[in-house]
Amino acid sequence: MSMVLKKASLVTVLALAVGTASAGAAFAATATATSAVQITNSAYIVNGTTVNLGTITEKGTTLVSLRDLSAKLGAKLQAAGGVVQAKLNGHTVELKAGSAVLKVDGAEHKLNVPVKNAKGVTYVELGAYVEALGASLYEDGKGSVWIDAKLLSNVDRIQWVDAERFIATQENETGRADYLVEAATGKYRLLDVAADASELILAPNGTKVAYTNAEGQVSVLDLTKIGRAVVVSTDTNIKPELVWSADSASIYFLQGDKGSVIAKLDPEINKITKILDDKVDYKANLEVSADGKTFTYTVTKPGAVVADANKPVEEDDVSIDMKGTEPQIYQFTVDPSVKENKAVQLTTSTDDKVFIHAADGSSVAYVSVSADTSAKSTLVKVGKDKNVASLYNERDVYQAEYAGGKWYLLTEGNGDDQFVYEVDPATGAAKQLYTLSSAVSGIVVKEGAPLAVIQDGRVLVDVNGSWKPASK
Amino acid sequence: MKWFKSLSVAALAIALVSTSVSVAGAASDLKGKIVINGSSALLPLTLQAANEFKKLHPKVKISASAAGSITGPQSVRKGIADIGAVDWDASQDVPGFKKFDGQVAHKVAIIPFAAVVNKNVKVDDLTTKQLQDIFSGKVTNWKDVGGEDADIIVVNRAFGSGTRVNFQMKALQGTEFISKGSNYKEVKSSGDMKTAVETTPNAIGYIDLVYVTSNMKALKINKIAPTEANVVNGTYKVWGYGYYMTKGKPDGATKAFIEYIQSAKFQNGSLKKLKFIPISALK
Repeated sequence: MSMVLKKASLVTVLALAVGTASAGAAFAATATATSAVQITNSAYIVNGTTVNLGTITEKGTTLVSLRDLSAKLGAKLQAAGGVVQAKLNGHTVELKAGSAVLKVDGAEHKLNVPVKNAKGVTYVELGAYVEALGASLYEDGKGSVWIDAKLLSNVDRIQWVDAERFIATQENETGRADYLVEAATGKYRLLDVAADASELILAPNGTKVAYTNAEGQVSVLDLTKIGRAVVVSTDTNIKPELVWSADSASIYFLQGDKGSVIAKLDPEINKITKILDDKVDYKANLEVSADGKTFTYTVTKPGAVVADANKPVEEDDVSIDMKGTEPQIYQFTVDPSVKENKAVQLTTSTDDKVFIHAADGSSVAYVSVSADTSAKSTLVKVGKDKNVASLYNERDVYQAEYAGGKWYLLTEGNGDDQFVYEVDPATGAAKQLYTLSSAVSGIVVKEGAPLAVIQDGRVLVDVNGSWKPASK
Repeated sequence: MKWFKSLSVAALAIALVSTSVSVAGAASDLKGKIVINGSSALLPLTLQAANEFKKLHPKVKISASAAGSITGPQSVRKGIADIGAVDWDASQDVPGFKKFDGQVAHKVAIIPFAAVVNKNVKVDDLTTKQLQDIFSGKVTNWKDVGGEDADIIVVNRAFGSGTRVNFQMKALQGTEFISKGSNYKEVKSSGDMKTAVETTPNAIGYIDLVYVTSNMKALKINKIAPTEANVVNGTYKVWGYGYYMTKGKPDGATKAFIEYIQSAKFQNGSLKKLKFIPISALK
């Protein structure tokens, strides 16, 4: 199944300052009447559905029909003694016609334009009202305004579970929280993941995640039902990286604080088997082939230091040689017929190697970052023959993700924007899919799922060519 | 993935002005070269952070090495490293080492230490006074501290070790070590300490809590067991911060890397996974 990706849509970042005069000007439809109050039916996307709301524009600020918007958002309205009370998301908002004060949970907030009564309908400043209810407002690059009653806030990163859902992670000072989010509606539920969990590693079949903790234990959480994570390994060795097998049945991991050992965990029976223990430290970026026989990883060598401890400290008798400390790609293939089977070093070059992926167990692709920082970063591949060949070298590559047999690259654009390219590793054909704002910090892909981007801490999902906010 | 929000906010602001050129641009525009040297205890943490950081900022080149804590601030002073990893605050005087003037200390992790003995030793608990007496050579037989009649073998880390500085400051409250004798042994690394304590009957030494194995015994100090929980709840005192030292205030890629290793994402994720304690645990 190929990825659902839409062509060249532009994300323009407009500072949609909620509650200030700039909000509204861009999206209110033009009204031609000459009366003092011009009421316009304007299109908005509320909770994912396009609706028309009655609006008034005053002093460049959009006022919206309180009743229309509240009904669409799902806010409950109550009126008594000229004061209207709206309730949503546990917030209570009080307002009064003619007053420039919005009471939010008892605290007063100043409005730019007073609440207005026109033809028996109450109008309130759109941005301020939406914010007061704890809802979210977002204008995309095409001028569409998305209003959502309840979106997850402050999302740090996401990963797609399947075509409809993603896991969103919030980080804070004391710990973390992971949510399962429906992309189309923004609905979410908290996953029961331990506060000291490492990042969640999703099984290829999308039904469960694995993580390790400060004790080295491995836990698995079933995403198909509501429940707690189950400890599947009580082994206390440090496990810097976990990798699921292609059949989602076992978990491979690097072991030790220096990631020296490659091992395999069978979660069903809590059994650990060593795959490779060659005393080579600082393995990372582990990938396992579909047949579970070929292991691809990088090895980073620390620099060599010469220091004479007998000399006075003040002499700073230290020298460092960082030659040969660039990461190199290694491959180890399990083969009991080979005596003293060893890992093979595929690369020797002095470039940095990031976003490494062994697509088919034979060749390995990665972004090559030159030591010369003015040079472009390119997508290259290296085979078992150790020959390095270019896959994409047109534009400076910032990020590379592999999904469904294709590479998706976030690259430099023209001037202030960035591009997303799809690259076919078989042919090297590159196709530009998107133009993105420079405020986009990363792309998130998965086979079958739409492309998502993170922009200013907000998750945006490509829905039929429009960028739908899936977090705020 | 988390990219630095401050940069994104800047990008948001400039996007309003259509004629503006790239001022902040993508976070991935960050370029530079960072050389890190010093503490071997902190090296796994540094390399893990470097591996993650490069996916956010591919144009930043990070190389790291380790040869003991003191070489960290020395390398920074000499100008051959941007970051000196050290197991104590090298901008202050500590037992054995004068402060490094002009260097700024950045906390990156909490490292607990344990007094450890060979498995044949019957003692489970020592007071600060007893530890001081043993490591200074005043008490030389286990029977004087509640154990069997056997000579105590003191295993010490060589001068320049961050673990040694911390153990001297926190467990011995600054008292001096013995430095010679037939029952005194000096080792050069945590690995050598582990081997020496595991294989030498009647030995006592000290090591990072993370390196305590089932082949040795970690002692309670003043009746408090060396556990992460006891460090966090404030009852176990033998721990130190791991620091990154820089020459003055850092900027550019070095600043961004230090911010990354101090970020909630790294502190609560990979740092815990590597069995360090987040700096926020003791705020």
